[in-house]
Amino acid sequence: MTGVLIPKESIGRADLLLGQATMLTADRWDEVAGMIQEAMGIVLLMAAAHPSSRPVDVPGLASLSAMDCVDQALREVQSWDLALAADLRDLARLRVLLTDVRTDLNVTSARRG
Amino acid sequence: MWQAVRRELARLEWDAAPPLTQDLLSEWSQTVPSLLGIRRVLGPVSVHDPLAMLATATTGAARTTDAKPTVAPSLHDVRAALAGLARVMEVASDDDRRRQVATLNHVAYGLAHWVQVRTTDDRAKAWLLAGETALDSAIHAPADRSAIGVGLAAWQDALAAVQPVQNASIVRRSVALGHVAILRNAHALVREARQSGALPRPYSDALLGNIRELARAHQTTLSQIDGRRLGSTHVDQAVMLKLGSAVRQLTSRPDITEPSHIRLDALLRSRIGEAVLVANLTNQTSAKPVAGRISRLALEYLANPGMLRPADPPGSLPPGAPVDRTPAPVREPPAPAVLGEPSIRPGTVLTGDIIEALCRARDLGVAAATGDATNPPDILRGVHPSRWPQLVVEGRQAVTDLVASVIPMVYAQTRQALNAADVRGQMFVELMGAAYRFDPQRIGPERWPTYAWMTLEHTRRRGVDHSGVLRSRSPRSNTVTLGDTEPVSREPGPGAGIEERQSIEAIKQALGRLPHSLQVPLLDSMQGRPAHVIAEDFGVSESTARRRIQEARNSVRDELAPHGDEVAEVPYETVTDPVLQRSQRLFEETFAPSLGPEPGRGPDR
Repeated sequence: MTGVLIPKESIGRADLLLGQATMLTADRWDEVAGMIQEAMGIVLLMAAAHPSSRPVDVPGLASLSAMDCVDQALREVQSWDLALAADLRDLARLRVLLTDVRTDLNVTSARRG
Repeated sequence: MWQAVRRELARLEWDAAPPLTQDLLSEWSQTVPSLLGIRRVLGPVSVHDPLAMLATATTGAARTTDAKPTVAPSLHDVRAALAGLARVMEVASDDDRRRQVATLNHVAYGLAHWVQVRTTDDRAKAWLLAGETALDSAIHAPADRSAIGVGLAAWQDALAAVQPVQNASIVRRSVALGHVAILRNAHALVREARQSGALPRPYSDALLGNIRELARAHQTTLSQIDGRRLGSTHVDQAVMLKLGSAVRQLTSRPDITEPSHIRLDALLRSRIGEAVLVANLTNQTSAKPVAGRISRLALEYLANPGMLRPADPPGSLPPGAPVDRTPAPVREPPAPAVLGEPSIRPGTVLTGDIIEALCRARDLGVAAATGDATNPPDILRGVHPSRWPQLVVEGRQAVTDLVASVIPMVYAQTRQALNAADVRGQMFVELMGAAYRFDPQRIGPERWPTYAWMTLEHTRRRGVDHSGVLRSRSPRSNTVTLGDTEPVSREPGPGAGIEERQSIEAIKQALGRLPHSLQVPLLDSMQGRPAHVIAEDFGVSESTARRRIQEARNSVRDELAPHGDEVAEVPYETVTDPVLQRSQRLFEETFAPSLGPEPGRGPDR
């Protein structure tokens, strides 16, 4: 253990956000949807391994777009201490994934107009 | 060994008034461990093993809530026979082990089907069908173990584990999220196979349509679940941990060494991630019929796995060009190990350290391929099971490199061989086996080339038969031998048994009674020695040698003729006694080709 406090509530929020993003992109069949699902898989396991003792909530979750969900999830992840990498094995992969998804979604939405 | 089990299986089918059980599923849950018990005697059971998957599916079926008990004939006696067999089961060789595993799979398949068709609850039936399909697949269209296959086995295991709390929202959410990821993966692979012509277009179109529809159904499920209150109870946490681990395995980056058609094959064999079970767990009305259609399409594939072909190589017909859609022939069962591309140049001299490291990687790979994640072997302690598939790949690569380092020896050994291609092919197989057997601790790592050379030398000396197969070490039961002599190049005749043994014994006795001056020339001729060489050895003329051989044949024939008492008067060519008939055939097969009578000098018949 590193002695760094694990942000259980933040992990719970990231889980909610990426679950919502997966739901919203369930009818997409491209690489972006695949990356969102991989990120969801990582956070789902993190949330299971480090459950929050209090119910977590993301205000207005139902009205968020996939892009908003990824944006907010990335903010949550970026708020975590990097020293947690020793406890959260897939942390680095999660950061890379969310950054890539955000870039790809930005490109897609820019193309759309 | 299997007689008692066979008798009980027959009784199960034909007993007019069998003892009944009030709860077939419960009995079946007690029977599966007996099957697993036998399987464990035969070797380590991996999570990917069809019997392990049958056990998982049975757990899922048994955990189906509110399932109505099924009254059926009791499996008690079958279970007792299986348990008895587990106690006495012994394995003599690898080949024997393979046979026993195959027999066990057949028995388990038959029983699983018997139980499945009698089970009345649809949800439990779906689980039992999953177990039956795993066995069906292993028996009728065996495939290599694959990384995604291991992930899908973990997924099925997780679905079974959460069955008791199937109505919990956390289950519906986690299952739907995980299955969305599986469906997207499958969608990408099916689309790729469709574009490359690897899968028939109508079939892939139907599959793609149903996958998209099921994903929409999951979307509906997820939109109905309020995730904010989930994850706070112990049950929720256990569910999330179990399903989260499986989802993580399935959403990890695919193993780049695993071709896409292998991944798609594994997904289809899993009936696309147990779609029907998922639909039952999410309890979404719109999901069930679609999942049923996906399952049927997957079973259609299982009945004809040749419809999925590896993608056409670059430079072949472009997509859209007319393509022969005739299904490819069903693939042969895979060889235990396959030589891939070596990472070193053939003939590279390896140091002792490198050979030791390669052997270590090989052992890890073998352990990972056969190990049980819940009870890992010592060598894998501390290695996360998600790493095991990679270890399998690395182990295979290590063996390939070991073989590559000594491959020039094969050519050196076969340069002068008459049937070089056959011998060479067999040598590759033997070398592969040697690379798996070589023990650097016992023999010394630097002695790998010597060990390989000795193996090849042994193979060369033994030679191969007309089918390119290494000759057996032991003399065949249906060839006549005297002392250490063995007739040259005798293919085994069809059939064996008492009559054959009696015939052989009769011939051997007849040969043994010949005087030395006749016996030796005859045995020499049986070994293919020409008459003039035999004549030289005896210091007689060639015609005398021929005469002695002929006399010896006549004498043996006369000895054999009265062997069947009741046919003593029947002409030699028309004997009807099976023993004598067999003796006659063996006699002719043994003697005639090596010593064809000269024209006009044949025996009077």
